[in-house]
Amino acid sequence: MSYPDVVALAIPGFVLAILLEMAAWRRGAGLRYEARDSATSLLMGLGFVVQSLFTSTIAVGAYSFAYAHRLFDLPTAWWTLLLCFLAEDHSYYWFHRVSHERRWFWASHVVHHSSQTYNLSTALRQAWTGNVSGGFLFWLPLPLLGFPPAMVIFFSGVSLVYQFWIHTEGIRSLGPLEWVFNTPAHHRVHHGTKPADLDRNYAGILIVWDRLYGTFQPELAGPHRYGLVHQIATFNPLRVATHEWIAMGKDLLAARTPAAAWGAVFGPPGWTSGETTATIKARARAAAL
Amino acid sequence: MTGNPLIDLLISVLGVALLVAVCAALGGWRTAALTGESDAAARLKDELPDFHPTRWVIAADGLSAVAMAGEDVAVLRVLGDGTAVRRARRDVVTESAAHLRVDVGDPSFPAFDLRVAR
Repeated sequence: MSYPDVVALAIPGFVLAILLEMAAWRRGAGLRYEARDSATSLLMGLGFVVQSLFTSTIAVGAYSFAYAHRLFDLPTAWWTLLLCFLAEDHSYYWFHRVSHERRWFWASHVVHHSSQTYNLSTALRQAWTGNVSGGFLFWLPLPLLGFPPAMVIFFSGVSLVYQFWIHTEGIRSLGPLEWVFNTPAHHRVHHGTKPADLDRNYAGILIVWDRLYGTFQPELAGPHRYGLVHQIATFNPLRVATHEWIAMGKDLLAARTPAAAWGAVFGPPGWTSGETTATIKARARAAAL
Repeated sequence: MTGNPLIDLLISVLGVALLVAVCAALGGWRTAALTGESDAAARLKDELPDFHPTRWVIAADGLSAVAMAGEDVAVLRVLGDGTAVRRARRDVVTESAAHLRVDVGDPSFPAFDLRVAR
């Protein structure tokens, strides 16, 4: 069975939606756009597509190898499609969570969080090093279980397309849908840098994974502060793509013990400076007492 | 799209340029330059509330500032309509008559020269 390239099909829709959101921003809908910030986001998205042409073979090769050694022969049926959708979304949750909690994966994912604005163009600010750093490993169990690689890639594309529209301040609440689905409100929390918002709401499509694993945070009143705890000071796409890798390399070279070297690469972001999400949240709790 | 990767890339680059041009034409090219010490202090308080500077140096163009307190400095850089801040040891700043050279050694916060306001 062949599956459509949903990301390629969605690109005209992305462009149209961004233009509509810009129009809403000009009409004073409480949105924020900055041209150089959007240029960086869009160029990061373009670079993501270009690097994927070369690096996606790593993921496809790994999926094909796993599928050749699959545990089950699953038919293409409605229930396997449903199971694959759920399994893909679950894999995404853990990929995304580890991408925030371990610096090796954060070095790629930090790109997506590096904008101080939150609009539809931010959704396209994608990492260039995800495949080469092994992000695809989180989906490897799926072909190993017997889901065809093309099906897995299709649902990964569906997830990417779904997550585009939730990068907006233009939609406040979606009522009962907030219980089940990842929504703009939930994802605004995820992009927020206030202590309560850090490392929360990792979901791709279904927010139920966050509710299940205890990482859910509802949106609180008051304006968000978007971006990084320490905002980057550049619009240069190359620097945006590589800064955390360079910082990691410097910390690794400065490490004097194996434990320090391990922590610099595989510890949580901020481990070397002592400013991790855990310490930031602890400091905020102490200040609130 | 067309099946030719180079043409696809060209179309994509033109699409990016179009969106950025529309954003700029709609008023999205904004630089929130520092208007003075009180403005810089307000932005610093948002980022580093426990930093209490005793001396400020504001760039003539309003795009950067250095706040000093003892052996520490806080460095502010304006990025479009946002601000980025780093706290560092004072030795990241090299002073000369008319400008400061600031290099906090952070790849996400490039080194820069601050021309002092007169």
